[in-house]
Formats: sequence, structure tokens, C-alpha cells
Amino acid sequence: MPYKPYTPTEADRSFAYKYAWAGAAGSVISLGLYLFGIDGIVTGWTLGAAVGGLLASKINRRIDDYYVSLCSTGERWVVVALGVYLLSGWFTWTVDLSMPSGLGVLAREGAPLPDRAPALFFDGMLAAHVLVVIFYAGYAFHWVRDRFESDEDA
Amino acid sequence: MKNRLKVLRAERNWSQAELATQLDVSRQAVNAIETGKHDPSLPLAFRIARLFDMKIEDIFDDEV
Repeated sequence: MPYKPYTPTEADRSFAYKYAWAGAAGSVISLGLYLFGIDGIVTGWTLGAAVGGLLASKINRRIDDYYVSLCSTGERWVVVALGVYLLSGWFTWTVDLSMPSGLGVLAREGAPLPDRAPALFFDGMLAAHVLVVIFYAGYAFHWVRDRFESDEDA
Repeated sequence: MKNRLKVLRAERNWSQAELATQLDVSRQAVNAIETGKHDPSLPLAFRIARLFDMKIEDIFDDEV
């Protein structure tokens, strides 16, 4: 048998599944930190974990078919959410809601959250944070659904 | 899709992790295939068939 030192082992492949949960936790915490305007070293860690999971789902060669199928559910959820988000934006721009939304965008930075709510809708970074959470939610949904009737070895 | 993977594995007294190692997949993937939650790709189905020295259709049944 040829010597292939960098061949992924079963443990390597299983680690991808575990890392996805770290990414999921990171995405939720990162979203919370962004919403409350908290910035610090924790922001870097949580966002790093969330983004790392995203990138690993596409460029990591230590994954298998099943992991890809879990991620594809997350990707499907993201596409649907993005479609709904853009449709909502289009609807907001094409009806009278556009006026208060425009005022919201121009609201002062320190204004209370209710006054800034329309501005949050058009916050691209917030939308990205939410989409990352939705990706992991889709992944988790598929994983949990498959655990029913599961007969996994310990 | 129904399959005989769990029976074939049990006959050889392999754990899911041992089978996963031989198939170059994760233990989670073996479990998902055994329970019919995930259909393997064609290359993986061929690897499974070769490992057990059987035809793919003798392991997997697409008729529900």
C-alpha cells in the first residue's frame, strides 16, 4: 500500500461535523454582539468560527458526501431567506414604506432601536450575519431530522 | 433507499468507524446511509460494493 501521509482519516472527516457546531455557536453569538454593538476580541473569535465553518464547507477536502448534503440544506435555506429578504426590500421600496425607511437610514447612530429598525433592515452586514445563522440553522435542521431513527455507534 | 449495509457490517463484526475508515468517509456518513437517511454518491456506492465484493444492486434497493 502506498504511503500517503496527508490522507484524511475517519477522525479528520468526523471533525468537520463537530467544527460545524462551533461555527453555529459562533454565528449566533456573533449576531448578538453585532446587534448590541459590542466589539472586542470575542467578536473576532466568534466571527472567525462562523466564517471558518462556512469556508470549510466548501474548500475543505476532509469532508464527505453526507457533510455536503447537510451543508446543501443550509445553502438552500440561505437562498430562500435571501430571496425573501430582497423581495421584502423591493416591496418596501415600491410602496409608501420607502419614506419611513429612508428616514430610518438617516437616523442618528445613537438613536433608540425602534427608530433605527428600518435602518437595520438595509444594514448589509446585519443581513450577512443573519444569513450565516440561517445557513447553520439549515445544517442543524437536517442533522437533527436524521438523528431520529438513528442507530449510531457511540 | 433501503440497503443491507448494516447487516453486511454486522456479519463482519465491524464498527461504523471501522467501516467508515475503509470507505474514506466519516462515521456519521455510514450511520446516515445505514438508516436510509442519505443516499451515497455513485463513486461511494461502487466503493461499498467493491469492499463487500458484491454488486451495487445487491446492497441497495431503490424499490420502496
